[in-house]
Amino acid sequence: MTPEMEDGMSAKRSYIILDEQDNVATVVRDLPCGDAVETDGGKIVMRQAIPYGHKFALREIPKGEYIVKYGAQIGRATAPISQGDHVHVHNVEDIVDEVRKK
Amino acid sequence: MRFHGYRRTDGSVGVRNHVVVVSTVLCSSEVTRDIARATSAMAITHEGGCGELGAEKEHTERMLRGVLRHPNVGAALIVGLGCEQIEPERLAKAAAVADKPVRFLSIQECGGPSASVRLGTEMVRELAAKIANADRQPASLADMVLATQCGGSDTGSGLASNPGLGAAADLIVAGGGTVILGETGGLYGAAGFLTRRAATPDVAKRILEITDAIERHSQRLGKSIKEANPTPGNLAGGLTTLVEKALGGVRKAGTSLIQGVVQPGERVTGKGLWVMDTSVGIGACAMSDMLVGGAQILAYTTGRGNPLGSPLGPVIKITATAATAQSLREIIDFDASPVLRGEETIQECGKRLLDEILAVAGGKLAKSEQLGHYAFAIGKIAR
Repeated sequence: MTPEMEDGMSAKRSYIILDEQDNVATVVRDLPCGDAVETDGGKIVMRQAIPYGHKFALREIPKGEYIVKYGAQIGRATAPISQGDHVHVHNVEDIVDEVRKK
Repeated sequence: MRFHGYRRTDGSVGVRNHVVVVSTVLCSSEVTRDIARATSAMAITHEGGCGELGAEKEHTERMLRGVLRHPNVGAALIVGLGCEQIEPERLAKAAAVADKPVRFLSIQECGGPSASVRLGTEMVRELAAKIANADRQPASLADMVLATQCGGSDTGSGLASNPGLGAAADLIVAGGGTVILGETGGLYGAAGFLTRRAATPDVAKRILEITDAIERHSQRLGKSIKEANPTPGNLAGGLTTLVEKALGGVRKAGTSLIQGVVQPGERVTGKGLWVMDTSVGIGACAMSDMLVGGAQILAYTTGRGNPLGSPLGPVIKITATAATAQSLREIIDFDASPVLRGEETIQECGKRLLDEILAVAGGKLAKSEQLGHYAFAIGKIAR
């Protein structure tokens, strides 16, 4: 666990990971396409521009896999997602009915 | 982790010692407000009290009884009209049971509004004198009941303000205190996640029941929660799904096990995290429900900024958006933006916020109190 991590949460300058199980991070400032950030899993290069408040993939997420934020499933990938990809409505579907009754 | 508060005979601890002037019915609300203005007492007015049936009538009665029993209330004057459904005498008994000085008057018996304001003003002055010598005594986190709410949310809410408030909520629960999570509509998308944190199967069942009921209610009014969320503003801000939005919202109450589900305005007597099935309406309805339920303080996260306060207790405003903290410093109590800049962890933010909550519990005025913004509202019941 790096010094920035505490109870599975990390607060770093350009992004926040809310739980250590998460496969996405949320950026806290606009990141241009091609920008690189350091993570516990190594350097990640943004494959598109990521606006403030939006998410990028921390690792490859195959089509059909869950998007995990807050340590919980928040949606499902509708297309293959690569590390550093913008993760939003163009490649994620809601799973509200499925999650509600689980 | 201590504060000083007013010990009540039912074991609860107040962080304020208010005299409240309570209208039984909309018809007596103007006289109620006039008396409060003349005396600096807190006015509790609402739009119900007569012509109500079933669950609505029960809700109004439960709310007004709850106001009189509230730990922050030291004494009360009840102002009735004379022919309303809610009888002032019966309400006064609720305050008497809680061992608080209470008086009541009715406008019809008193000879009209002006005479009622004169008499009521005298009564409030006597009540205030009776409780003026109450002393604050040492209390601990185990005596605290914190309500949580969010409104005017933005990107910083789900990332920093709500997780920061959640960290403070977890510290209160760890210290033996109580936290209330309400706003049933906001729970819908997180219901499955919350059931996995339910202390018993029955609590899990109740969470699904109340969130199913609010979705049915919304559909009947023409707007399904699922269809309406995330909003276009949410999507632009980076929220992708309703589940994500809801999880960011419920994070404000922390990560503890959920001990039970209570009705709107029902007194929460247990410790730990509780869900309240708050009534439907503008934010002041859920705020009033949770405070009436026994919370001494309500912590309110807001990205865009909201000045709402309550006559029942301090409302602490938290934002993680530095621009809001600066431009709306008149209404913002706590700045969580260091988390977004990486200068503070969420845990550190939670500890700093708990210090602020304890300072306000001990008598520091929240911005909502400095401004004198005191809204009270009784919402509708979803069926």
